[in-house]
Amino acid sequence: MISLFIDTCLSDVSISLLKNNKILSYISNNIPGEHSIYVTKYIENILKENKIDPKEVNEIVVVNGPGSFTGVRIGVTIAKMFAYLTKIRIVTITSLKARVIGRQSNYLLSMIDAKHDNYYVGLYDKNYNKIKEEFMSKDLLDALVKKYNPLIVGEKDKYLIEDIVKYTNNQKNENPHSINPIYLKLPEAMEKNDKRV
Amino acid sequence: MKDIYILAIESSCDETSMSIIKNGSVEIATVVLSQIDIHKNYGGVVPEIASRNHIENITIVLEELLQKANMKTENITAIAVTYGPGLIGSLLIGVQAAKTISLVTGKPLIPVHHIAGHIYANNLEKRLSFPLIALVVSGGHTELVYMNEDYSFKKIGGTLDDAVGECYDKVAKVIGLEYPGGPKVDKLAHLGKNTYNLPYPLNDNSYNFSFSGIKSAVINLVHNEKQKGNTINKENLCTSFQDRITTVLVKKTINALKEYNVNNLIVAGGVSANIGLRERLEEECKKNNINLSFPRLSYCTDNAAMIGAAAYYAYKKGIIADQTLTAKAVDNLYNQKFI
Repeated sequence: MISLFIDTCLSDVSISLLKNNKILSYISNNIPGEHSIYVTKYIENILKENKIDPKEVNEIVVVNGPGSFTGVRIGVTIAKMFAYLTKIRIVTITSLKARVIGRQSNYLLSMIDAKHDNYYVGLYDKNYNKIKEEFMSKDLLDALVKKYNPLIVGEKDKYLIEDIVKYTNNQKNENPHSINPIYLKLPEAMEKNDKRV
Repeated sequence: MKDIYILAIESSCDETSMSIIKNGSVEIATVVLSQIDIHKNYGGVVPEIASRNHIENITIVLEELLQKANMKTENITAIAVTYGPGLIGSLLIGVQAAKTISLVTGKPLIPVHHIAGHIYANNLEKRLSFPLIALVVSGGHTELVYMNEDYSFKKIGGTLDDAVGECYDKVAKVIGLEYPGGPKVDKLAHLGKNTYNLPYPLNDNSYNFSFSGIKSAVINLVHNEKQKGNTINKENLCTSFQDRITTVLVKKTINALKEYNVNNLIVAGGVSANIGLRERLEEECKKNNINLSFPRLSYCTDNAAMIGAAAYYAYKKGIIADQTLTAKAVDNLYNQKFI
């Protein structure tokens, strides 16, 4: 079972190739603003390095946000097109949940800076069941931390990729057409329009 | 010679489009998914919303295309994509999709400049004859281009500020026509009289254009009349506005044809659907014995068929990209050799 793991949500891009949940190779680079140039190149390189044809990949695990809108879209576009063409299994996991997988605590909280004192926040129980995944202010985040006393995972903490891919083994296969980014935030123009209404 | 089938992708603005073109001139199938109804609510294209829609549609459009063409990606010779210019977030979806198709199928990737595509929309009607001059008029471009052979572009002149289509849309907005208002201005122009006193935009002997002045003139005129409590005769205003625009466009185009001693003119881009412009050009070209070509109406606006047509000639010139191809919001058509 060959799995391709793709995460392009933040400036740290992570591409891994796994065989039966064990990493064969991985590329992890900080390339702010350059995802559109390098991500497919990394995938091409990692496949060549392991002498694996794109058609021999059995599944794609893609992190589908939240994060930088453009960054998220790059990984998701590649993943859904790849899976559509090769008709392989594809599963998604949010960037918030991916950060807590493999870590142990009664409650786990992951957070990503969404600028202007706002955060993307994910809160999970010890079995990684979602309690909340939301865009929120720092005040609400502080209240959440106070209430649950969770283990906090930040955006600089590395993914435990083997654990993540293993965790997604039990997830249902998704339809590439309906795989889309999780933004947790409306485009500005829509927020303004909503307020007008 | 073996037939060349190009799968082309265009996503530079608010249309998600894919097409399969055989040998640069035969359309096998095309799918265009327009987001116009979504952006109408905002009075113009909202880039972030456009990107979100492109990603939702990208594999669905491909599936529809392959079904319509009754083809598989294995039957395709190469993949082509608009890499720029356009809205960066929109372009990126098409470029990433194209790179992924190229990676998975092992087929070559051809980067196509959006304006080259508009020009080659004419090749889907009739094989281009050289040398030619192309008048490119759209919401983002106003240019006069000289070509002495396939996929060789020399800029003769262009707009110094707004594009002509942009000017039409803004004028439409000022007089209360719904986005996209450009075609509505053209329609009203045929119902009115040339009564308003508007300037001729950059009516000199150069091949450059400037449309911000006439745009401001229309805005001021509308405001002044409103303050005086007068109503605007929309039809007459549109007729007067369209007269100034087409007069200058046609005059400069005919001058360029004469100076470069060229008797083939092609018109390209969204504004080539403008009936007023078509009528004036037809009249002048007939007078001056010039062969005039327009794209069919459905190919005046953004579509992937034109990208597939242009890509065939780019491919024959050896223009191939690798997996590091990226989208460019702004790019010069005239440096194509350096890709």
